Amino acid sequence: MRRKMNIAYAMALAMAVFTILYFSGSLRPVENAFRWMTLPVARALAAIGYEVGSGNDKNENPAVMQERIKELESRLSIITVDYVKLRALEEENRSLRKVAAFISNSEYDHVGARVIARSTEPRVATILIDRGSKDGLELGMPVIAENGIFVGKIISLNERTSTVLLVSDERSRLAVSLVGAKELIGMVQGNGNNVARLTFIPQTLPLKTDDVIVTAGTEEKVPANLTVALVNKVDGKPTDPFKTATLEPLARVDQLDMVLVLRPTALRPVE
Amino acid sequence: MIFMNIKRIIFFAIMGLLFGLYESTAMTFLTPPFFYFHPLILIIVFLIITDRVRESYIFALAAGITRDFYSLEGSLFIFMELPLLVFALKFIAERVLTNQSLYSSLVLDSFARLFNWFWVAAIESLRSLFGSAPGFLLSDLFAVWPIFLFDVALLCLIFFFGNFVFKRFLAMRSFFKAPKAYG
Repeated sequence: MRRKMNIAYAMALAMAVFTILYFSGSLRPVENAFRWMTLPVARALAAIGYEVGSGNDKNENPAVMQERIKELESRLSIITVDYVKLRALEEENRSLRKVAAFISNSEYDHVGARVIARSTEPRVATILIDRGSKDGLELGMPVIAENGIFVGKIISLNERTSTVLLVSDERSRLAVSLVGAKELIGMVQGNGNNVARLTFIPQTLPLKTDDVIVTAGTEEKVPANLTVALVNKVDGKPTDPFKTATLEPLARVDQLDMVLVLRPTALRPVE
Repeated sequence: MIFMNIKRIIFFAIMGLLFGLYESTAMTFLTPPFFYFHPLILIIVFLIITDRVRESYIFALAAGITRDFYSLEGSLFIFMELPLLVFALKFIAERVLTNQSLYSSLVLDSFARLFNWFWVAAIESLRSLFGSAPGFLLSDLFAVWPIFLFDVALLCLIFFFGNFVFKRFLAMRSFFKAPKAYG
């Protein structure tokens, strides 16, 4: 009995010491070494989980899929018209750039990262990526999906991993504007469950369905004109001071596998 | 018998690490029904019911540390929770249940799932008081049910095959600890 009590005391003491060391940051080298050793296994397991999860997700109800196809087809026809207009504008833009000898320099480069974990609570939308401060990442840096859609910002950093707060998280706030416009038009707030809303839209702003929302560039590390979402439905009475809008995400954050972290070129580590 | 064989320590530590990594990474990508397979507590219950207490401590500690080092937003003190859970389960198994049946394992598993929920609820609530984490909702308790039902199904399967392969109505301890005698 006494021996058992001694073992229990020893365990309690070990846990207390571990807790103190953990919070004082003394365990940071051990943590980093542990992550360095286990990260390849974590990556492999995440890849397997992603494959199994996305494979299982494909087996959706055929009726739902048909409805989704119809909806996407109608949207595609609208977008095709816009695309033709955009192609014309693109050509014009290209020739203007040539004439003005405009050097495109966004002062940003990117770091590719694999998503190795994600939150499972509906109200929380965070992901863990396999890049950290050793790769030149900093708090507040924007994270985009592979197709260039803004998905979130880095909120916590370790040497080899980082946590990204996604746009749909209840704590997420992002200043946005309309594509092609420079002024701020509102704030994107997360609602959980992969949903976000655009709030504080001035009543005078003529916002309509399928308008493209982009980052405003008012935050220190988030450049302007990163695509965020499409406007789905605008709500609000004419007497309200501000309007709100539901947004349709362009990137499926629940299916993120690889992401890119935008990093100012000045912060690129020396190879 | 205080000191376990070093190979067993390493084996259970590696298993704890691998299953901890599974719950931290791969599991988060899965969709139901695969998502409901949360193996850590199930394995701990199974180790307790087969009287492998020391192994379950090693497993719990390794898995807990892995879970905490791969947590998304700060530690949930899983490295403390799981060894405490082993301690509590051992106490209940010895003093309350006193047998190693399927029903005992179901009672232990339900206790373990509730303990886990209370632990996470307490830590999340504390974090929401002192930080920016969202608070814990009582409705999150409903998310535990499908996981528990999945555990029940798996434990039933384990006992069914255990009884089928070995001999029916033999204590789990006997046929897992002494395979030569019953093999």
